[in-house]
Amino acid sequence: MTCGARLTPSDESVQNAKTEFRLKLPADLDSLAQAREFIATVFKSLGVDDTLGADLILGIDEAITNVMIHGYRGGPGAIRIEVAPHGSSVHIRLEDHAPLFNPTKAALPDLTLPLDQRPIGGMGIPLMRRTTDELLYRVSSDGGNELTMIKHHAVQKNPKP
Amino acid sequence: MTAEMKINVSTMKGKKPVTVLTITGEVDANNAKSLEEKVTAACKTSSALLFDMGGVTYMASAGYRAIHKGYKLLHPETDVVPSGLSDKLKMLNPPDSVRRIMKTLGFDVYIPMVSGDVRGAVDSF
Repeated sequence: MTCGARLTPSDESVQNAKTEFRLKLPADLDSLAQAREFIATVFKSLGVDDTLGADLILGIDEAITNVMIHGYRGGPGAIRIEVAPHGSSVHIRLEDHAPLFNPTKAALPDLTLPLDQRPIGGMGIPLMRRTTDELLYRVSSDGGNELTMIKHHAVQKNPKP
Repeated sequence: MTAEMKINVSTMKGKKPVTVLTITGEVDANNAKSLEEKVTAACKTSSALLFDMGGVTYMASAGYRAIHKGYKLLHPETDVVPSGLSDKLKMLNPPDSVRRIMKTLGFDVYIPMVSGDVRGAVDSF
């Protein structure tokens, strides 16, 4: 597989021998656009379906945003993103060292309530869940947060050159 | 690299004055605060809001939050909304990606999504 310009080591992202794509980001909301562009470029090279890919990028963006705002709380820190294909599934692993938080156990807002009666906000985690098939959380071996987002049958096309 | 978003605010005359917020580019957690501020300001002077979304290429939950805030300002809980769909806040030409998420969040039941030109959308209020 050939690497696009955005997937070269000089761009802080690396494709290793096991076909994983990695990016390390500072915990700064300014970096969100870079994260989305990186993931979009990887999805394109893997042949991820455009619609599923767009929704999945939203879910990942929400997860990263939550780590930056609620985890690091605007302070310094880093977030590692790893994207890897598994057959027709795609796995996205996010690692950070913000205080431990398991988003798979978080209470969800009631999305059936009329809008005038709903509290504002709290839509990030529901979007993470609705745009993925599996959301797996564990504390990593070095004591950080590790969230794996899995979408099945995401790879539906031949990879684009 | 930061997300590029532009918001243009104008008032158009229809059956009643409508504040039109024309949004282009990517709306994310990094820039949605300015959208929320413009929505809040618009709701102080206007009772009809149109979000012209034709130029939006991406919108994260922070953008939906701003729209929800506008809805709540125009529809306080004491306000009786006869049918589900708002006659005070509408969305014009949202891209498919936004339409899908509006449905996922259950916003589509309350916020009309219309297609066509701005003139027609303004006249629909």
